[in-house]
Amino acid sequence: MNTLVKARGLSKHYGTLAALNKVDFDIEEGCIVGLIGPNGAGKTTALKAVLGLTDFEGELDVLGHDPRLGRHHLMRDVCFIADVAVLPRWLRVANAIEFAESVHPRFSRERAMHFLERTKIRQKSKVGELSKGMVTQLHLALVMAIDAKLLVLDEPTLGLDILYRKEFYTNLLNDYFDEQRTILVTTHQVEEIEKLLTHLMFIDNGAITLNSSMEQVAQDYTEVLVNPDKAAAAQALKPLHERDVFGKKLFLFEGVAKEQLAELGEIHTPSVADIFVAKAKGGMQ
Amino acid sequence: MNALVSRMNKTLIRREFWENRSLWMVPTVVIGILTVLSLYMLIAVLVGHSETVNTVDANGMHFRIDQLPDFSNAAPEQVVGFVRIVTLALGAMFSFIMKIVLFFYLLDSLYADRRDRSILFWRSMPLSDTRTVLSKLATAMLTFTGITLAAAIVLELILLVFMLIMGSVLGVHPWSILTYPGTIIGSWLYLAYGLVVQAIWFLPYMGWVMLASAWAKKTPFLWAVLVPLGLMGAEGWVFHSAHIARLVFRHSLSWLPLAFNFDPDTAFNKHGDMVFTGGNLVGLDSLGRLLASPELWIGTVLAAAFIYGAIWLRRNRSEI
Repeated sequence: MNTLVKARGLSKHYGTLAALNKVDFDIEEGCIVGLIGPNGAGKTTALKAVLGLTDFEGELDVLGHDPRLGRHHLMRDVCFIADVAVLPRWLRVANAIEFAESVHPRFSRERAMHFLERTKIRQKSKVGELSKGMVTQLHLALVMAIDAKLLVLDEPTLGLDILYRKEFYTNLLNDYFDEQRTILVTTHQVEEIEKLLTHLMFIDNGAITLNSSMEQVAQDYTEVLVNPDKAAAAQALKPLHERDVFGKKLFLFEGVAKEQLAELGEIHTPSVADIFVAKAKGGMQ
Repeated sequence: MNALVSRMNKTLIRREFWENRSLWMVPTVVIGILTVLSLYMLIAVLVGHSETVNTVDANGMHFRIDQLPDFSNAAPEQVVGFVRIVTLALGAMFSFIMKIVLFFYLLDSLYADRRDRSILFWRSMPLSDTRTVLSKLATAMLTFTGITLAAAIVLELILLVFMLIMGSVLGVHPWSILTYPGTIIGSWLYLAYGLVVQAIWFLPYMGWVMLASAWAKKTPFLWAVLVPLGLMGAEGWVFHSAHIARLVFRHSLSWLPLAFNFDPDTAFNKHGDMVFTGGNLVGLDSLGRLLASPELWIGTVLAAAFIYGAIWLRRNRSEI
């Protein structure tokens, strides 16, 4: 497997505040990596560093480029949707396609048209005349028409209603993703993307608190629903987190054998959101 | 590869025209308004014409038709002078209008997309910030020369047709003007030359406005205008002098006597009419004088510094 992004000791300070504090991570080809963290945790800073949109300290290699130098070379192989509705209001759909076609060597007009055919977006429309959901569809169509190695999505569905949000990820998965492509995505709505992620990265207070494949996460983390009488036994195994559910106790364990936990009660694979909450609380103590 | 690059450049400049429709709309509207006004005058003349009428009252304005030049027995120098003065007057008018349009265009050029965050889309394309900034400067220079020239020529041709019709009706016979096609085209070449000179001469102003546009977190207008005014005020306050003000305002006019063999002191006779001798307005002498002028080169170096600053800001400090 190819390593597309390699960060070593990546730091970024805003004044005295460390948005990223000596972070190391790798992103391999063919993965869908979810970068999850609360507001101000350093997610967007990390993405900006990868995209060459911000200065940083430490080492960062993105597809063999230092993103600080020659962002425009990097952008041949990397695409990004930074936020919803960043297409300018005056831009016509046809002009957007024409622009991308003539400045991006990997953009395919046919692919863009193919994606747009399924929407209600007309060539003559201006971005300002489209709904928020349609602007995102347009942006996604433009980006999916680029044959890039790495796609970076920063809160791509923020402010969209649920129909568009579902469709966004469905299109991305069915029409775009394959073994040669890599997606790095951040979002608040973890539940939406957890089924499609192959890798998970938690970031909190400028540090990476978890970084592993989803399979590894499912192996390492176990949720057990325990009757009150066995609660003490469960607590002895040092759970990461516990909470009360319908008179029972729900424990979250990290790195405890599933066979051992099955004796205590009903075991599940926890959701990403639950692991995140448990990890974040652990960090606070 | 070269074809690809030139296509990219063309698209970048077209992009500017998609976004900034005022670049061509303003001169078009001005041509439209002046055409309608002239047409109104023409009709007023045609309708009001009789053997005794040689003045026209149009909307309270009083036009003396007998002042319409009669070229049938005019000396060639007079025809040359007339054509030049019309071309240069129209050129001066449109270049003044386009300077205002381009001031606002450049003011927005590196600011508007930061304000609406669409810069994140533009910067997701494989385009360097240098190329982007230079494409906007190139758009301003091309618009200033190309569109100003085209607008002046179109309006001059329209007015010429009206004048020929009006003159024929009044029996003034301006047709002989058409026997000097070289004069008409020559006057356009003078205008084109004057516009190209200005496009280069005004580079420091353009660079300054782009720097303000790339710098401002809000209201680039205030940065572009108040910083120089503040410097001028500070100079006056501290040194009781006005060198900066003189430099800035003098520079906007000093290209004229350098680029053309045109001396404002002798160009007007004692009645205040412009005198054209029909001599060479432009020659190797004027061109040499222009290229040898330190003001041109200092201005260009200053412009390069401003534009470099704008590119640097765009690359490193583009967030509002």
